[in-house]
Amino acid sequence: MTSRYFPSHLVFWMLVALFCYRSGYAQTELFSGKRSIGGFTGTAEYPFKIVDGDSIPDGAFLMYKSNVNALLKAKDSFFSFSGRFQEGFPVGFWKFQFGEFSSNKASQVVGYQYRVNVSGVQHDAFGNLSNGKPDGDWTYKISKIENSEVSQVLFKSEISYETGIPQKSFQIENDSITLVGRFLRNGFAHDIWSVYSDVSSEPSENWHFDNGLLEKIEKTTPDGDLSFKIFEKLSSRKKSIVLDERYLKLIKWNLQNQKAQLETENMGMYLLLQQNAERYEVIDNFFNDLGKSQFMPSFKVNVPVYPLDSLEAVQLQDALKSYDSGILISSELLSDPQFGLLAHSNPQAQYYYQVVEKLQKDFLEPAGMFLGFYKEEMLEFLPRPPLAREIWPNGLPEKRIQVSEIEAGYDDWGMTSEESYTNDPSDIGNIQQMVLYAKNSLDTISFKLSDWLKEERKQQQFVSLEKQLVEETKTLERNVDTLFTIKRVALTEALNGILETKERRLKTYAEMPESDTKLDYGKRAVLCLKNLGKLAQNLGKLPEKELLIKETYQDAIWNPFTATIMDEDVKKRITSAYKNIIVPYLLKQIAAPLDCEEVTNISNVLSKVHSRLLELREEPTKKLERKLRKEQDPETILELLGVNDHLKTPAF
Amino acid sequence: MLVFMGSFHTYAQEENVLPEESDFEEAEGRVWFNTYGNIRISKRLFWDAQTHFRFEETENTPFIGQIGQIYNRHAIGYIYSKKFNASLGGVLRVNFNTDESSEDRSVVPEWRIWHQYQFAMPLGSTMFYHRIRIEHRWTQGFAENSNFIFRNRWRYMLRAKVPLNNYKFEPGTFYVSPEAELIMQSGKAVVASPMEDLRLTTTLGYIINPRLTFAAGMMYSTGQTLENGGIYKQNWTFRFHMYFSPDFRKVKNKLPSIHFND
Repeated sequence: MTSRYFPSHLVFWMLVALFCYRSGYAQTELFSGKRSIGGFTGTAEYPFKIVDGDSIPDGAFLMYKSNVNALLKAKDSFFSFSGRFQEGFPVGFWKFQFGEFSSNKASQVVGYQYRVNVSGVQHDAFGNLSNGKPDGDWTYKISKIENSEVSQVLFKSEISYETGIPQKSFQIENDSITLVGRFLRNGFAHDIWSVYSDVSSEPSENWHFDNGLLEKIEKTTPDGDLSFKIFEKLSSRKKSIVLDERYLKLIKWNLQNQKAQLETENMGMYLLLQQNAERYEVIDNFFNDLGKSQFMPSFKVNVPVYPLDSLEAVQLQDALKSYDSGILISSELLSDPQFGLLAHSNPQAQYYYQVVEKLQKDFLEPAGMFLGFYKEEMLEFLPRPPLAREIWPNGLPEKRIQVSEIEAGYDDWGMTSEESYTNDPSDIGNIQQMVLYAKNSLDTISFKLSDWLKEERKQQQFVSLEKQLVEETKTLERNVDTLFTIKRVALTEALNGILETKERRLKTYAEMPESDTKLDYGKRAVLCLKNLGKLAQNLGKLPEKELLIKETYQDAIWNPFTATIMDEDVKKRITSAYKNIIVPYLLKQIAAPLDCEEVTNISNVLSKVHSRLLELREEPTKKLERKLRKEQDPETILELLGVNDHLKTPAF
Repeated sequence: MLVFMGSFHTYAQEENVLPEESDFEEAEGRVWFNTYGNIRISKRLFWDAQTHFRFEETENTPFIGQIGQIYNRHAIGYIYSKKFNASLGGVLRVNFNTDESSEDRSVVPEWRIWHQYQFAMPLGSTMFYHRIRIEHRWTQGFAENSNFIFRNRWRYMLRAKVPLNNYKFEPGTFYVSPEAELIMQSGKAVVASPMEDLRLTTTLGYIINPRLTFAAGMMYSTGQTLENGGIYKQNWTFRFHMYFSPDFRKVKNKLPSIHFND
């Protein structure tokens, strides 16, 4: 139909053009506003694209925050980050500045600007990125600023990269020591890495690397120079790993195994590498929150490897499971106060207590140490026999557990079971069996104790509950006794009613057979006694409250014939309903006596009536007074007064 | 209280020579029913409205007697403070001729202008009151065409009110109130009898509420007759009083005015 005047291929090309325009337009938008990225919150401005429903930054990026008012008032945390993204990857030159400044509040006008001196700490990090990885020279510097001038460099790291791989020599320094080292082109540590302190031009610490393998550590100490061999160049297989916390732990273990008196945590190398990693992490977190990157540098090293075969891997997994479950049981049992108490008074309990203690201390805890290395993925880099010797110098413990200082009648603990193992700890199968044995033993003991402890726990609960009941009873009786000094028959009867309610509750409790129901009933009895105490206090305040109401419902009137001011009672129908009907009614209810369930309610009604009366003094009440004229029923009067709590509703 | 009796007029003219000794006439009995209104009209002003019905015994009507005077006393009062107030107003007293044998007029009016200054003094639970009342009166006899004579009265009263069943005055309080009033007079017609009346009264009162009080008492009074300063009349009077003080103002106006200077 359109073919003659409107060619169909033209329609097609128009649609293509429109689609391209629309999609191109929709893909790049500009974000400008407040954002929180990598723990920093401030104003961000950057273009982004929507790709598969995700927003990906693309283009120049700027984010900043500073607050002059905060600075002048106390201190300001500021930051300013700038760089560029390409398809979500940070690329090109990036600059990070952040820190915290305070000001001495003295200002100066220079060239149409107010100048304020600041003091504090500033972090500066800058360098190039290529495809999300550091590329070229990267510097991270922390400076101490005093009166707007750098007074001290607290930290500085300068490392060169080639697409994320550290290159050539690098330098990391803090306010007292400097680390200088170098990498091969493939990123492996090489040659001597030296730590210099400010006090000497000679290095205080040398780590000798050869193609990533740490061969030797030399350390200058006041007692003389120390030297430790770390890894044998010719021994076994090697594997390349990252120089990180785990690597430093391996070195630490190695030194400990040599009984070297060196604390790795105090070594300059350890300190500076750790500090550097912490700084880089700040920037890494920022990039990870926003786009795709691999900012953390991978300093590579080689270490000897003692691979685990597939059976060992299974055994370790199994041992870890048994350990986790066993240690949970033993910790729970040993921290159970009931078990602890029972162990002091009952020889059988004492026996089990000691067995559990031994199972935890001799079986599980050393195994936990061994499995810890596995969990931290260090096990395959540690030579097993020396590691096992270090943890179990006397071999694995025997299944039979000797228990000391126990009365006759209790043998050593020795469970007949399928688990079998020799005392050789270098075999992971033995360790797995031993841990399983310990776990099974604990399961058995826990099962044996569970009913016993449950019963014991209940007994303890009864003891503590009854102690509470006695205390609450005493308190209540003491409080009620002091109130008997108020000479008023209805009040005295109500107080006697309170004591009667208490007496009935305690009697029922005492007569109940020991059971969970009794325990529950007893707990509610404690609450009841507390509520009765509150009710008694409420009654004690009644005369005072009545007087307040009388005084509230009085107007001061000038009598010209006596030339005096006289109090005149007003709204007498309301006060009379309160005084002559409601209060006697409530007192009578309490004297009846009450059930525990009604105590809180009646106490509430007493309080509410009083508050309501105080409110009604100021409210227009003509209609209410008319209704009260002939009303004698207390419940109806309560309703008329607007106190709607039904007295019979259970309170708990 | 001076009593006019036209029939004695001629006798008085003849007998106005002072006797050798004071002559005390025989006491007469009277009954007074008095209402005292004190109606607040603003924060400091009130309307003093009193109506008294005074009966006196005659030969044919002993004890309560017959109506002698109806007394309308009105004034506007000013409350200066809780302890002092003053009033100014007029009185219309209607005098009835109680002389059954008289052929003169049976009713004559008497006019007064009066002003009063009253002080209240608390002393412990007892209240004391000093009242100075000055009256300018025009009176005439019952005889046809008798002229008005003008006199001034100078009155001072000391009164106490003692609560009996309470430590202060409040609704439900009984109180006893002794009072003594001396009434002096002056004027052309007053030659030898300046002491018109000395009244000694004691009443017992009961406060129903701040706006209503009832009291009853007995009064002895004596004074020189106008005609002859040597002759003293005497009276015993039963007095019944109702005191009322309504306040029709709105509540919000009433309350602050209680404390005048606070």
